[in-house]
Amino acid sequence: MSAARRGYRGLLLLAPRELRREHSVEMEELFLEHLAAAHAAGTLARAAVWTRAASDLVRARLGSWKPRRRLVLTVPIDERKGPMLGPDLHYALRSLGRQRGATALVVFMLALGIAANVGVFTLVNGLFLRPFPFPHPERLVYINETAPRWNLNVVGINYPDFDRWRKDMKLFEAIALYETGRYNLSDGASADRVPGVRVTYDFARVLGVSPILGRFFTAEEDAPRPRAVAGGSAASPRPVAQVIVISESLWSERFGRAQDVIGKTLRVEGEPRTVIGVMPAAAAFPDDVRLWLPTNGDPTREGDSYSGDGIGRLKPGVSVADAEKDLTRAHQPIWDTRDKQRNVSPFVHSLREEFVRDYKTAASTIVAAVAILLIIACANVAAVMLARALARRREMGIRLALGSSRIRLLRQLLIENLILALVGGVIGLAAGQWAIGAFVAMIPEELPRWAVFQMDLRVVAFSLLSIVATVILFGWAPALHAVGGDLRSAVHTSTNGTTGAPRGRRTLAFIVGAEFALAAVLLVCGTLLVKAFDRVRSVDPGFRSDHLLTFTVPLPDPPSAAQPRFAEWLAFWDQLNERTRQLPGVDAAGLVSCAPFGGCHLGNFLNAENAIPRPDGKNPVILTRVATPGYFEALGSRLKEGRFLQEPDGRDKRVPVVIVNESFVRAMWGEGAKGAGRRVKFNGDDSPWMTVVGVVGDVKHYGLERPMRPGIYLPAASWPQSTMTMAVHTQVDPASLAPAIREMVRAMNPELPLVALRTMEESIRRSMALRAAFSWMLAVFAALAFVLAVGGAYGVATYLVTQRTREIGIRVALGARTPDIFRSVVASGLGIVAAGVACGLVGSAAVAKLLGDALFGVSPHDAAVLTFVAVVLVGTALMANGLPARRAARIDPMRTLRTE
Amino acid sequence: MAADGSLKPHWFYILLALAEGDRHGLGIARAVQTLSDGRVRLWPATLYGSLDELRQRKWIEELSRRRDQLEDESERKRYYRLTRAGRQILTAEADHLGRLARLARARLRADPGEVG
Repeated sequence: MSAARRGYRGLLLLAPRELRREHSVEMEELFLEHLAAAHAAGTLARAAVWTRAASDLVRARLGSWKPRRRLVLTVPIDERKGPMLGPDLHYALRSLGRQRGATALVVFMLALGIAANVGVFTLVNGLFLRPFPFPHPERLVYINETAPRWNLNVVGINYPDFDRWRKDMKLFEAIALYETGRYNLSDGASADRVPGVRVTYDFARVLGVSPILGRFFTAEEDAPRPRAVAGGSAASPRPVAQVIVISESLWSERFGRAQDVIGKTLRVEGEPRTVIGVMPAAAAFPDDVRLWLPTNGDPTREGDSYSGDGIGRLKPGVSVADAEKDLTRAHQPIWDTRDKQRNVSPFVHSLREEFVRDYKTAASTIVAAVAILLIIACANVAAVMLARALARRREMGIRLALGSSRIRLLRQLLIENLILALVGGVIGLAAGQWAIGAFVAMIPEELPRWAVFQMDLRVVAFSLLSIVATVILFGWAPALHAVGGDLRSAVHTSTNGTTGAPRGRRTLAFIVGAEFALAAVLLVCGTLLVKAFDRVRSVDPGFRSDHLLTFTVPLPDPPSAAQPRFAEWLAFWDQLNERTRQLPGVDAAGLVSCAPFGGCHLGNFLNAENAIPRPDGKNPVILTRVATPGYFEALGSRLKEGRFLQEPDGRDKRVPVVIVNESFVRAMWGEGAKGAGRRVKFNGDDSPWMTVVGVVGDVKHYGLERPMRPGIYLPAASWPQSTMTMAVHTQVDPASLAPAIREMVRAMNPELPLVALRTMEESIRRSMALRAAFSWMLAVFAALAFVLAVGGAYGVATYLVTQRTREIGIRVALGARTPDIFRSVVASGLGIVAAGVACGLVGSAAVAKLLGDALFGVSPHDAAVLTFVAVVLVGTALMANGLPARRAARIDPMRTLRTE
Repeated sequence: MAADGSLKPHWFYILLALAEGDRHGLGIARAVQTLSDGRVRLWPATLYGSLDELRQRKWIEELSRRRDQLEDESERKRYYRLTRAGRQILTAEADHLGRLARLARARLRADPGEVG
């Protein structure tokens, strides 16, 4: 390719795009012909050809702009008074179309603000506002028992108590117990562990959901089951068949929705049960439930055993407070007989309250954050619109002169604003829904199953409301300044004049200051939360959490068996331990009944020999666990005194031993006491004394942020369990052992499911998932607010500089020097920002306090964070003002004074 | 249209060039140069911009296939043809110019001393 052709190709970039696209090759040919013709005439002629070619292209480009450049005076000629939507709309659209850059920016910022708000509102709607999918959900309440003296807000329900309530209650239509669990469901070849729930027979009635096939339990099917009596006397009650109700999803999966499923048999925990009903998908409460079993609770059972939750349906018109009084009244006989000290009492909450308690702080914070983000976005839009409005004062003045009224002008501005808000709102709505989908996909297990995050009527209404709010929020500034004041004189000044600007300038300055104040608040909160998250993450769990794998094996424990198969279980656990230790890459392994970060808990009361008197009379609940030798080594527990469990422990019933943790020693025998060698026992006169042979360091069992309570470990040989969790310490990457472990368990018994096989680090990560999501969401919003605020400051500063071009030109002409100009521009901008940031920091201290527990290990007045935010904000504001200031300082007075 | 209501000179020459037969862009430029005795030189942007505008007004049309395959190899060469409307415009303009020319000659003969 010749140099000339290449050169012309370069010049072609000046041409309008369509022309270039269609005809570039031909244009090149024509040009080369002209060039060739001029070749003979000499260098000057050739230069002339190049020049002519360039100007030809430029003229074409200018010509292509002409239709759009037609300025201002295409006003609606028909300036009649009265509403005329059509021309107003047309005018508004044209006026917005003229400044595509500004319009796009405005729509983008509005969409951002509205998307964030719609997304958060959908979350809030799903969690807090949308009613449960049951009939009259407002009448559903949560019931349980509380024992403040035992350090427990929620104890669980004692079946005899529940029975008493059920007999005596007056204000409830029905109450029911439920206890969730996972159950082995097998059909001989393979085993599944499915989520299910044990319920009393009235459960379906409380929920108000009927089976789609068959029926729910009768009172007889829920009667207590006697342990089989040897010989089976005639006086024993007729044995009732074991029954089960399955879920719609289970019905689909296992029976293909066959109509004859009623009467079929399923093996649950190794025991056959007859299917008597199928429940619809809507009955999934409290979580994913695939089967229902009767509780077979025994009201005559002695002793205190508290577990499970309760749910009730109030009679119409009964309040939650009255319901609680009713239950308390029904509970009175129990206080009179069994619980004279009134340690335990029933309580009633609204059902919704119970399930979202965990999310309340997080949700309110996010809602507030996102509202602030929207305000900042609107403030930015207001600033942009204000700048435009001030520039259009001349146009407005002309129209006023042509006979329009201020009302009409205002109305048209309002329509423009509405269009912007609507377009931004629609885009924001779509973007918000997408964001919610992404968010829900990120933390699926943490969110309750019944929460539905979808666009419903409420979400759409909220979005429309936000749109209207944003119009008001950003529309006031430009409307006021465009249409107020002395418009007629605006006609005479050039658009670069400063007439009418002082009010506008003050408003702009106020907007920028407010944005920075709000951004400061958000940034402080976001930084604090991120810092708190980091603190939580670096909490020492009390054991070695890397290279650690855990899994749970539930052995079948059917309630109808004559006696729990203790010996079988022990043999199985011994074998499992041995085989696991033989796997390649395994350093140590051991079993425990309840592993850290597993969400499990079993509490008991213990007596300690020579215990110190307790200051407030509170008897602490002791976390009771059962472990095999090897567990402590596998976990990497820290030995403080004595020794870990060993093989002989528990096998000789005459020498009961236990291991306790440091909190136990401290609670029972005081600070600095030694625990080894002391004796403890369970409540009850015939419980044997057990000797403490070792003290281990506390393990953060309930979560990195939750405090640990006193704990005790019993040897598994004396306390056989049907379900235990294996902790495996590996030399290699723990996840790599998963297939080998699965194979090992399957080889031992193919009907046994392997549950929750994961690394400890994964478990810990899951325990923090909610906090992570919450903190990072807030941080993202804070970052967005920061970007918006700085962008706004830059835009405003630039605009103000162009407004003051004439003034600056005069000052330079009068002798002001570059540094002076620079300093004055920056100083005026920075003053506002500093004031805004200061207000924001002060406000943030108050706001941060509202975050409460979320600020783990971090004070709301953290000086480092406050300083950091102040420096970042003021620093970037400095840059945002500095760039236009530099441009201002370089203004050539000759040019500015000339172009008037 | 030019300010006085007549056809823009460029357009007139382009239409004229096409009156003789279908041409491609380069051919039109050359023809115009010949027709105007070298006085009118069409530059690329002006030429193709005008061709696009004339096409929009449907005074010329673009041929979908090259007629003369001996002429050139490049696929990009587009051929243009005068439409019936274009032919009418051209005729009208030629008549108009003819009238102007007769008027001018008549005036010049009548008042040899005035420039008219």
